[in-house]
Formats: sequence, structure tokens, C-alpha cells
Amino acid sequence: MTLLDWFVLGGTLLFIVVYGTWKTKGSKDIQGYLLGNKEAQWFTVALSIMATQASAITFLSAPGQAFSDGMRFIQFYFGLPLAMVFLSVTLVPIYHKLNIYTAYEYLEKRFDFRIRVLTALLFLISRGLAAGFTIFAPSLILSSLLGWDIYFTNLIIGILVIIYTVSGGTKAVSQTQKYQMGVIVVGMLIAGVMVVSLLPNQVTFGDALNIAGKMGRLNVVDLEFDPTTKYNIWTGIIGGFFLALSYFGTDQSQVQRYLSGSSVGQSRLGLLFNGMMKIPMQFAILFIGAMLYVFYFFFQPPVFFNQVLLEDAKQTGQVVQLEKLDKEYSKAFFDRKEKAFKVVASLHKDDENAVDKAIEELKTSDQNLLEIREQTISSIKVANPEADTNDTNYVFLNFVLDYLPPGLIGLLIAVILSASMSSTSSELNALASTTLIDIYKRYYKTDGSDSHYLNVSKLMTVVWGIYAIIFAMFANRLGTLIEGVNILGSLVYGTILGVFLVAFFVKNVNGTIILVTAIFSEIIILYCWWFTEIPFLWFNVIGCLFVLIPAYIYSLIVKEKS
Amino acid sequence: MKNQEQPAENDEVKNDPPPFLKSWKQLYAIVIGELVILIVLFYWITKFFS
Repeated sequence: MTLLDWFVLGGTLLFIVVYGTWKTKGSKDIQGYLLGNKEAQWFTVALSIMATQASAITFLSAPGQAFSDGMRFIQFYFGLPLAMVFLSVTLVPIYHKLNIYTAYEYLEKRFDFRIRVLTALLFLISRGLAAGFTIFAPSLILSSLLGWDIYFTNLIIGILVIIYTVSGGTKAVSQTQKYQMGVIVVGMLIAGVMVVSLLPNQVTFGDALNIAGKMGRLNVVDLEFDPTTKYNIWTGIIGGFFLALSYFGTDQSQVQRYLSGSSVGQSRLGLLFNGMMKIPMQFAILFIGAMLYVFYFFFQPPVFFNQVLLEDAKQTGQVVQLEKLDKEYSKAFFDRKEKAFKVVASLHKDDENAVDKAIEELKTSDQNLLEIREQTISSIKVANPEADTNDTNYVFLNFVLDYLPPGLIGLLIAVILSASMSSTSSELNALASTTLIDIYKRYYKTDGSDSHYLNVSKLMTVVWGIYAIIFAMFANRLGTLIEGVNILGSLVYGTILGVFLVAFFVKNVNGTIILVTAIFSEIIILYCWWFTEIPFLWFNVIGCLFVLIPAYIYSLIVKEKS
Repeated sequence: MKNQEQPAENDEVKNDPPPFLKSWKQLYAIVIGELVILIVLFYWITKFFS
């Protein structure tokens, strides 16, 4: 990174943190601190919701995913707009009417304190673990590619977030997220334009689309119903709907965002704007990955994108094999590049038969390149059996560092760090709110003054922030647990959603019944996770239905008897 | 277990209409309509470029 990159990166982050802290300093009461005095307009609510959901991994991983597997991941978001409409009709007016701070307060009103505590604890466990991972994941990739110290990177991200989240509470989180989203949108737009404009002169945008499509990278929609496939339109609409419903309707890190809206209408507009913008935004991020795939037909990509791991492997007895593979890879790349230009030439002639023939040749050549890459990965595994050989998350940043001019590199690193900070700040804010409102104020000190709760709330934010930093520091040593953290959300979201849906739509059900069905549902989900191959998106549906159906049957029996 | 005072209900919940439209139902229809249009467009992209 050049001095200009450091200037852009440091300037962007400092401006956001200092301006956000200064503009929102001095909340005098707990409602101001936790809900921003319910003054936020819809645009602020919408950007805050979007920034909370989009973590750094979204921007690091999604282009890499489209690069290696195509754009079908977009289907994961198809249920989201439907969930936004459902929430706008049902939950938003009720939350506003009840004047609550956390989603779990509502459950005590509807059932009893046990259900409130159960759901609050499930949230604290799953989100608490995720908060550390939100800091750790981008730190790992940045430290690997830029040679930064991972502990220092964790510390800087964590401390900056703690400063403004403690200082201004929810208002600071929302304000900074507006600027962070601005940086993210501008940075990603520039990256998208750059990847297309850096293609060779004779390769038009239309050629790039054709190559990406014919090589299976524009596989946006898959209509086939196959419950074992992770991403198709049905998993996306049904599983994605339930996931979005649980995440936006019952996860305090999102609920707190739209509870800060100045009215039901402003909260609704924020959610609906998210419903309209999320899919196009995600499409744009994945599209960058599909274009990167085409770009690397004409410019030689690294044989393995996590180059630190590759270099480490070269320090072992695998060096001879890896250098041999390097040479074969370069030769295979030039062969593939030639075939790619042949496809472009046949596209320009508008000769369908010639295009089909050229594409077949390109696929054969590409297969050859992939085989050499597989052999390289096997060698890395031999050198270090513990190595994580999935390099998807490194694809986009490799392009940024190798091909973007000075200044833009700093901006794109600022995008990654902004995304990390925006998600982390919402998480800390929500964890502190739930600990204060649903645990501390509910059980420990019910009659404290407003200033007492304000101070405790700030203290909780600091404590959760320190916890997240410590978790991030040790995450490297947790190995496969990190995968567990990723999946943890889906293990609990379905059950929590089921509890909320029963609360809204099923009468004659008491707290004991809901507690039993919730525990039963969790056992079923854990069984599915350990003993079946069901994709995790379906856990949200299963968890929800195993609470909803028994509760509904019980309510029918009670109705019959009475 | 200590008793918790329930959150006070807010009787004056502001429920403004959506901007530029007569009802929220119209806005919901627009959100769902956009989703349908995007899926059709994405399906066309998938088929056309493959």
C-alpha cells in the first residue's frame, strides 16, 4: 500500500468515527441511548438495516463465490422482500404500540418471563459468538494479504467501534452506518467499473457477458426443485423467507434499527426500502465476481489466491512439486487465454457454430488449468494438513491489490473495514440493550434511575466490545468452531421465529406449552444438523414449524374442549 | 422472581401513509412486483447467456 492508500484509508475511517461521535454525543436518557429518541427517518433506518446485515465477509466472499461457483447465491435473498412486507404488516405496528426496547419484551407480555429469558439468552449466545467473528474474519484476510499483524487489526477495529458506540449509542451507530454505506457503495461501484474497463481492448462488455454465461457463471436462477441443493429458487424463496423473517423480526441487532424509526411508517419504509434494494445490491456484488472470472481469462491469476499459504508450503519439502506445477500452470494459462480470444473472435463473427466449438475448447483448456490448481492444493495440504485451502475469500482482494491504482486500494480496504465496523457496532449495541433490558433491569435492579441504566448500558457495550475483541484474538485457534459459529444462527433462528409467530397468530397457548415446543424444536434441529445432510437454510423452516404446528394443534384441542 | 412492570403501551402510535401512494397495500404490491420482475429478468439472463 502506498502513502496515498494509507491517507485515503485512515482519513475515511477517522472521519466516520470522529464525525459520528461528535454529532451524536451526549445521550441524556436511556431511550435516547438505546432507541435514538425514536427520531430516525426512513432513509437512516434503511441504511442502518442494510449496513448491519452487510458484514465485511459479504464483500470479501460474495465476489469470490461468483468467481468459483457462479451467481446462483443471489437466490438466497429471494425470500427477503416477502419477509419485509410480512414484518411491515405484522410486527412493526405491534412493536411501536408496545413501546418496547427489545423484541423479547413482547414475549413476556404475550406468554411469561421464561419465554422472554429463553429467547433473549438464545440471542445473546448466538450473536455474542458472531460479534467476535465479525471482527476476526476480515482481520484474518487483511493480515494475510497485507502482512498486517492480526492482533493489532482486531484491536483497531474493536476499539474504534467501541468508542463511537459507547459514546452515542444507537444514534451513533445509525449515523456512522450512513457514511459507511456511502463508502461501501462508492467503493464497490468503482471496483465493478474497473474490472470491466481493465479487460483487453478487443473484449467488449457483451463478450464478457457471453463468456461468463457460457462458462456457467451467470447461473442466476435455478428452477429445479431439489431440497439437497443449497441454492435454487425454492430454497431461496421458502428458506430465505423464514431466515429473513427470523433475522429481521426477532434478532435484536436488526429490531433495534427499525425501533429507532420516528413512526410506524418510517420503520416500515426503512424495511421495505431494504426489501427493494437488497437483491440488486447483492446482484451487483456477485456480478463483480462473474466479471473477475472473465478478467482472469486474459490476465494470469495466482494458482492459489491465499498466497501466504502457498509461500509457506514452498518452504517445505513440497517446493519442487509446487514449482513444477507453477510452470505447468503458466503454460496452461497461455493456452486458455488463446482459446478465450478465439471465443471473442467467433462472437464478433456472429457465427453460432464457431462460438459453440470455441467454448468447448475453452472448457477443455479451463479443466486442464483447474486440475493443476487441484494438484497445487493437494501439495499445500501435504505441506500443512491443517491448512484451510478454501481461497474464495481472497479472490476479490487479490484483484484489488494487484490491479487497482494507488488511492483506490485504500478506498477498497476502507470498504472492508467499514463493513466490519458497521455490523459490529449494531451487534454491540443490541447485545448491550438485551443484557440491560431483558436481564439486568428485569431481574437484578428493577428500580434504578434513568442515569443509572444509561451508565450500565454504556458499561455493557464496553464489556461486550472487549469480549468480541478477545474472541477475535482467539478465533484463529478455534479451528472448526468458526464453521459452527456461522451455522449457529440457523440453529436457533427457526425456533425463535416459531415462538414469535405463535405469539401473533395462535390463541389459547400458554408459556409452558411454548417452552416445551421450543425445546422439542431445538432437539429436532440439532438432530438434523448432526445426523442428516439437510442444507442449513431449511433449519429455519423446520425449527419454526416444529414450534408452530404442535402449538396450533394444542390450541385446537383447547378450543374443542371449551 | 421479581415482578417486572410491563412496557407501557403507546396509544398514539403514528401511522402515516406512505409517500406518493394512497395506501401501504400499494407499496407492498410494488415491493413484491419488483421481486417478480427481478426473478423474471434473472431467469432471462441465465437462459440468454448460457
